[in-house]
Amino acid sequence: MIKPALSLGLLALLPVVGHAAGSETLRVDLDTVWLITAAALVFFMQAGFALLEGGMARAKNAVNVIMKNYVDVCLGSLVFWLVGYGLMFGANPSGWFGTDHFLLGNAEGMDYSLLLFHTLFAATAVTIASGAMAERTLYRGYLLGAIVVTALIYPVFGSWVWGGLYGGQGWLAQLGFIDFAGSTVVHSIGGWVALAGIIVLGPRLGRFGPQGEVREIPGHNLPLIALGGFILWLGWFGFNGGSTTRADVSIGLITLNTHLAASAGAVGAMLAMRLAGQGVLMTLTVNGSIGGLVAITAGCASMQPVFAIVTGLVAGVIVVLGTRLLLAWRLDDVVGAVPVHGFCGAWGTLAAGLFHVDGLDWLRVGVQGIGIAAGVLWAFPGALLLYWLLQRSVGLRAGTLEQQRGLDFTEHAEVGYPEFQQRLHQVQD
Amino acid sequence: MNSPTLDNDTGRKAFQRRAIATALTSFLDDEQLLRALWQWEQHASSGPALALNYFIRLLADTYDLQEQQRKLHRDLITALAQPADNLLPDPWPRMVAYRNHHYRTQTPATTPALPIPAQTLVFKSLLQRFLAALALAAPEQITALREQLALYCLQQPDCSDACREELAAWLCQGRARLTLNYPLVGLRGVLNHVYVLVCTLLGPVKADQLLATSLTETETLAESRQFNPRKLL
Repeated sequence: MIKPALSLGLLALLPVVGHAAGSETLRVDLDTVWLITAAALVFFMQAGFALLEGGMARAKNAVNVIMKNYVDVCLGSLVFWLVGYGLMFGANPSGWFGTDHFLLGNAEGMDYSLLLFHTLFAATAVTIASGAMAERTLYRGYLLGAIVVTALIYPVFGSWVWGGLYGGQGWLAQLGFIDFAGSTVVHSIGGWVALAGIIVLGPRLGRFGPQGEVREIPGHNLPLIALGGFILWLGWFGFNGGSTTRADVSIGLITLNTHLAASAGAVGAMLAMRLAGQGVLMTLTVNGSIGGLVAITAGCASMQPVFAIVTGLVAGVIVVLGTRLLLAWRLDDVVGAVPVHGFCGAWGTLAAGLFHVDGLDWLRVGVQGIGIAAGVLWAFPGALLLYWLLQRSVGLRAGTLEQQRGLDFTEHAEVGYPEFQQRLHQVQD
Repeated sequence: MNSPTLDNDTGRKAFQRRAIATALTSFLDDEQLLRALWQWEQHASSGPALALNYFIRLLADTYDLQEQQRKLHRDLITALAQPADNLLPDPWPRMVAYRNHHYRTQTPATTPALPIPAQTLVFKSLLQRFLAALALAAPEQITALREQLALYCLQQPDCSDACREELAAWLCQGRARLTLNYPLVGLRGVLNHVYVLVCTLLGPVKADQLLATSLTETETLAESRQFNPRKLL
């Protein structure tokens, strides 16, 4: 009697067990679909960067700007698969860098999805410098720099915060450092690399007069800048939302905070411009939104919406003030990458500590400060050395003839608007 | 007249001029010294270390100092190793005054028998229009710019001495003509230098506008059918 009852009981359990196993598979499948969708949105941010940066450059350099954005994701993807992913996420017993999972293959579970997602994060970090350094950077020098940033500068710092996916933990993570989607890991690192780049390069020809007076060099297509801003905003829903790596209800708060911070960033920038007595410029308004997005990236999963608004608002102000500061230092940042990504990334990382949902804990804020400082001390001198070496070896700064002719022609033998720009030469010499 | 404001090595070149002037005062009179300093500017100031040996040979040949080459070499090396406080002041203002006086008192070249190359004519037209457009946009800057350009031309490494002298004279005098066959790379260098000067004076947006306007006007000229002015860019 017992055996049949047992058998019947086991049979009755089968749907439950099957359901649980099916649920787990379904969960992984859903997580994968969400992660890949988010990765696609992050990839689309490259188009946003290309349009925003291209619009802010002069017409004779537009193709060069686009090519930098297009190819650094191509090269960066290959390099990140080769070595970056392993350095960043491989087993990290020391807490300083990963030691395996290079040239990923024969992977398990969601590894391929994670690799794709984080490859596009790496591409985002490296392309930040391209805009700041636009209009006077030799293409070969820029690409070599992008390779080193993707292979070394970005993943090593990333391993300190997000490392140890396959064992161990980064030293900043061990301290309790919070950077949910990369205000510091992606954006500030990119911003400090950009700062180093513009210092080594020097300004565009004629940007500053003999007495240091600032000469405006307007972008050639303002609607493109706005379109780029919209696309970046859209992509950020994947950037922050996808960082959960899971398709669950937390995405709601994350993406709402993302949206609110972007909105507040624009408002903050507009208020700052009005208070400064200047016109409300579209370029700075768009940059204010991007600054808000950068800032909220660290704490979007761990703060209430009201603080997302505060974070974004302050970021917008920082964008306006930071832009003026760079000009006061006679540093030429074509697109405002340093204030938007560097300064706002630092602010957002701090805000993640100040406005944490668990309440104000000064120890936590202190750890955020350590992480911010570590990012500066790693990325800025490293990039300075990198760009200095590139300048001394293959060359980094375009000469005066190249700047006169436009980098579209000198670096790519094309012009962006052939119906409106005649070729500089009928034949190549 | 200030030292060249666009030269990234302004400090280094000024130091070199001071050291050379200090070393050569015991070998040359005042006019010879200024000519020798111009020879340094033209031939050796941007080159590698071996340029010093070339410069010493040039001095020896030009001023009959073969017997004193070793002392010349020793004095120059010593002066270049001195701290700046021990050197004479920068002779650049005297060099500029000497060169301006030298060209203003030269008689204009006579009409050559050979036809003037098309690229020279087109270059002259383009540069004249560029400078004329600049004169309208910034009349107070044009004289200084022409002088800076003349000084640059005298250092132009891609042109022969004759071309450099003719170009500098044309820029400083109103009546001199451009008649020689200039290398294309040299003409591009001069035009680019004007562009750089205008970028510094008026900004790159204005520089691009003036260049584009000048180019469009030059393309309507007859000589532009023989030589495309865009090859000068």
